[in-house]
Amino acid sequence: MKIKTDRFGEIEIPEHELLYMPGGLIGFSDCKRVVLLEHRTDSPFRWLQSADQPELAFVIIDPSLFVEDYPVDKLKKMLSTAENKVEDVAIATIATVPPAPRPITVNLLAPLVFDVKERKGAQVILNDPRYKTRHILAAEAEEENAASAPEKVPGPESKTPDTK
Amino acid sequence: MLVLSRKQGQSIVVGNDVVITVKEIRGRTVRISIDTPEGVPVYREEIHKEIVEENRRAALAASEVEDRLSLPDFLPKAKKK
Repeated sequence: MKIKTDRFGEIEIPEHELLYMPGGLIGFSDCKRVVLLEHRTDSPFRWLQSADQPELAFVIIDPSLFVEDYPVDKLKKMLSTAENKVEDVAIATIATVPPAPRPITVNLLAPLVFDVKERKGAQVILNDPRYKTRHILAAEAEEENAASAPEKVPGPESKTPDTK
Repeated sequence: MLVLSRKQGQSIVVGNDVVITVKEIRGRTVRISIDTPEGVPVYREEIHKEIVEENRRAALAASEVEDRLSLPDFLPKAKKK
């Protein structure tokens, strides 16, 4: 089937690659049919593109790439049923990508869960005060830098350079 | 809009399968239980608003995003297994 998108132009998607979100996204209740698209092969980001609204797309990323203890398994168990195994469930989080140098943030409070076998999904809200709607990716990276390379920790007054 | 008064322990039925019960009234706080069919999500309003707002921001930002998504500066240390 053909899908019109503002970002990618008109694209051809096999019908079985459509994902159905019966409840839509929170605040976007019409966003029920979506497809996942690669950004670039070297990018950890992907796109969640609405199949019905060409202008509506979200940047998504696998939270387990940058959060150690994100409750991926718990979410997967929540969604798995007698017919669907845990490995059929995929988790993604929505990133907000403002113009540089503002940091990219990730909504860890309301992840997307997909049953890739049934091709169905939903956005759920975690009941856990540790997770925020604006988790800063760069800060996470800095912490990791500090942990893995202490000699490169910048002084308290230095700012993270905006590498272009 | 319907506005009702309820005492502690009393309930309101919405539709056929949503039951809202006043569990406890203490000072300025009311504890409420909400019974819904499976799959009907219930949110605290301020949390729901926050998510709606963040989804809108994400969609708006995504419509303008340039090729910032594979620059090495913001995910330099993807978690190593």
